[in-house]
Amino acid sequence: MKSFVLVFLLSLLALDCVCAQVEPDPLVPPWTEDDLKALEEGSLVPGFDLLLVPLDPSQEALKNLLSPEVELPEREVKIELVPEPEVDPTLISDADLIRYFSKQPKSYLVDLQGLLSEPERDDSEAFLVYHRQHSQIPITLFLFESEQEVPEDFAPEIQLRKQFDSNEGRVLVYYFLGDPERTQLVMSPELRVLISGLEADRFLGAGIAGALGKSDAVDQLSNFVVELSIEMYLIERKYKEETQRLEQQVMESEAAVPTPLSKADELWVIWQRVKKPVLIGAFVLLVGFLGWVVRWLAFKRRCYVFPAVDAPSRLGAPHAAGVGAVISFRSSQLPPSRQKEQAPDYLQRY
Amino acid sequence: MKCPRCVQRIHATADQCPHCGFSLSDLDREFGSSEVLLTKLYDRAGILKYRERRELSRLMARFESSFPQLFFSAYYEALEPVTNIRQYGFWLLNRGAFNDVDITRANEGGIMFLVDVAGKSATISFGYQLDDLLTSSESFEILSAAHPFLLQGQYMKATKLVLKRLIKLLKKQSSISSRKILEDEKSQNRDKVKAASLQRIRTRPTERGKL
Repeated sequence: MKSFVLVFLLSLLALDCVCAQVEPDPLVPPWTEDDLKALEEGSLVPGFDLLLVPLDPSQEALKNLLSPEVELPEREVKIELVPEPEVDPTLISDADLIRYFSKQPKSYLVDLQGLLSEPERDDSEAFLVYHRQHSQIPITLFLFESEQEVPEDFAPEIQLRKQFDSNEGRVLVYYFLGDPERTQLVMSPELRVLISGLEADRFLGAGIAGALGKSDAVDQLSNFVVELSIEMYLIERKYKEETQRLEQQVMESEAAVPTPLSKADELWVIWQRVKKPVLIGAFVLLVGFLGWVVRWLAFKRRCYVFPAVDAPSRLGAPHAAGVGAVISFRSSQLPPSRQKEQAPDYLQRY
Repeated sequence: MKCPRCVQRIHATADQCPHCGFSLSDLDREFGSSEVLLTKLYDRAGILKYRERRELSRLMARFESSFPQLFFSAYYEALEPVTNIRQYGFWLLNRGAFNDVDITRANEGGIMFLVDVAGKSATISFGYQLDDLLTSSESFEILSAAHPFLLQGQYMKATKLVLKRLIKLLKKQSSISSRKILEDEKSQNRDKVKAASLQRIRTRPTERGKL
């Protein structure tokens, strides 16, 4: 019984609410079905009559509306402020982290959180593409909000190693929109070999300084990218000149150090050096030899004559009485002076 | 000058040695007084090869072309033990008739290198023309230089060396004697000029007197 009464009262209350909802407002004209159809078709434009038809003060509704005596019902408008859930500005959501760092980005500007509008993103992206077309070192920029903190597991060095080819020269930037001083920049190992730490710091510093020259966050980003590109161009130019200078030095040193020559070429080179003195020496030798030959021929035919001697004969010998020494060669032990036979045996004393 | 037998000094014109009475006639009695036909290179002992003989002949010819008044002879023989090589050489150079020596070259200009292969001794004999050019000591030096080759039985080399040393010595003697001749000629010319000028001086006062 009690429950039945309760249900009845509740239904009456509900009915009252429903009736109250459908109660038409006395000041607003009700919509008819035809009006609704015309509205849907487009033939009826609400308020158009007001524009076409001059205001007729005799119209009752308007009279009522404009009459200061009409009291507009006061409505209580309740605005309930629903507090937004508290979000840590430093955090990057897991979903964003996955989108940022799961695979190699396809573009040079990675704005997966939609921090830039489309035209702004296109501008910055276009400049990074333009830079890539004129430079051998691409710049990939990951865009984050100013207060966001990138977890250590997704540090730029780690991402550079994971996502990009380590043999390719590349610059990876984590840019925090609105706070350029927090920008993180890493270079690939290939670049680190060529560019010193000081130069890398100067490189980043130039970009940050350019960014800080503007107050607007997007302008800061643009300036940062431009300054970075300019600095990269200057660095590339400097190393290109350095490379050319070193190549020139190598070529000069290679030219100074002759490539190994073949035996014949070596002999030819040696001959070129010694040709003159050798020829002069050979000529002198030839002249000397010819002179010696001529002298020898002259002396060969030379005759030696002695004065005529009118020597008397001696010991009854008509032609010769000259007696030279007599030498014995019986003994090889004794010297010739000891084997000199000067006196016959019968004249020698023993 | 020495005696071939007793090797004592004798006078240049002595008919026989005053010490031992030696003369050529003593050797004629032993070896004969008639001429002995020889060649400049006489290898009676057969110690030289054909090639060596040819070479030696060539060298001897060259010697003769350099010294038109002289000739060189080499004689190799195994002499009898009693034969004295010095005397034999003396006799050979006087009685030898060299059929391959030009007739204009007399034995007076001959130099004989005699080698006794059996007795192992060697000597040099020379004609009268070389009395002033070659001494006993010089011949000993020449033979001493050839001594090692003689000891080893290399007679060809020994003869070549003897010839070479002789040539050297004779060339030196020739230059000395040429200088001497020139000086003599100069002094003779000087004397002649002096005499002519003196003669002119002597004749001049007579002319002055005439004037």
